[in-house]
Amino acid sequence: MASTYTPIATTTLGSAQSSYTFSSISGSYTDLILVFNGTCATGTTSMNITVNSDTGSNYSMTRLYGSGSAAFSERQSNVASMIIGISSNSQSINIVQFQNYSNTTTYKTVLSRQNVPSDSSIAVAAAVGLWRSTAAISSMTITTPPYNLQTGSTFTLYGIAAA
Amino acid sequence: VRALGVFSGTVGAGFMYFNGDNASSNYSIHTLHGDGGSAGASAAINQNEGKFTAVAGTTSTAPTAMVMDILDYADTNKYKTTRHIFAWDNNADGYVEFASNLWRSTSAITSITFRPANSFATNTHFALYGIKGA
Repeated sequence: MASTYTPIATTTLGSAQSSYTFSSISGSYTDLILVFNGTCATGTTSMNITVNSDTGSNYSMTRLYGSGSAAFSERQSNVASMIIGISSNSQSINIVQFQNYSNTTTYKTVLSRQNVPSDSSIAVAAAVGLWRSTAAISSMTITTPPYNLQTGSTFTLYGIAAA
Repeated sequence: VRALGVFSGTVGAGFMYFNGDNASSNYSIHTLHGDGGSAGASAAINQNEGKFTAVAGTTSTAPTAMVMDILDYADTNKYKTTRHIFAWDNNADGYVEFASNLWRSTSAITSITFRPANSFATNTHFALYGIKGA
């Protein structure tokens, strides 16, 4: 029987930094799962991902979120990163699934679930992101612009093995 | 169930059913969804099939992704509940759906059928994973 959720790499930041990158990602899994549990320096902002160092306008995103009193939806097209998560100076959790990430036939669609439990402006969200490239994903960089990722933030990348 | 669907044209409604039960009004569904401009919710009861999307459109190069959890699938003492996130984005438009399906049967699930209103195209990919009991 195939295994699921094989840990590939995990990191806890020892100091604040502007980005974190998983590189040299093996193509031997079916899906990748990124779990971010951490904070950024100030306020509430997005958690963005670029793939394979591509900073061109090749990303888009559609998001559904709830603030505790109302539900909203928003989207962005032709942007330079996949705005696929939320972060704040209180704790936030983002779980992002990259499906069939190493295929070279289709663009890459990713799903995410996001929350900032103690923030009143954005509480919980789900989003879909698209990277318009057929290249296999071999690296990903996480940022929370314009703020730094804070000490103690954890990043874990899992691979789901092929069935 | 984890699926990466490629559809030939508009996705339209997508349906699913368990154990071949698709004619007995045993399903209900509740959704929360957004299209990038507005958010909404819907419900339907006594359906012949469950749903995995209400309405959507996509292209062959921008796959639709879905992750569905089917809880206690083999428990013969309770009805079966699923939850899923289903979403697509093609740069011009997008759609995100959170939903749950209820199948009013205590039978253990031994088969799952997904039926799109239109067609699954080449390169559509399904994977089914089991989570072992602790």
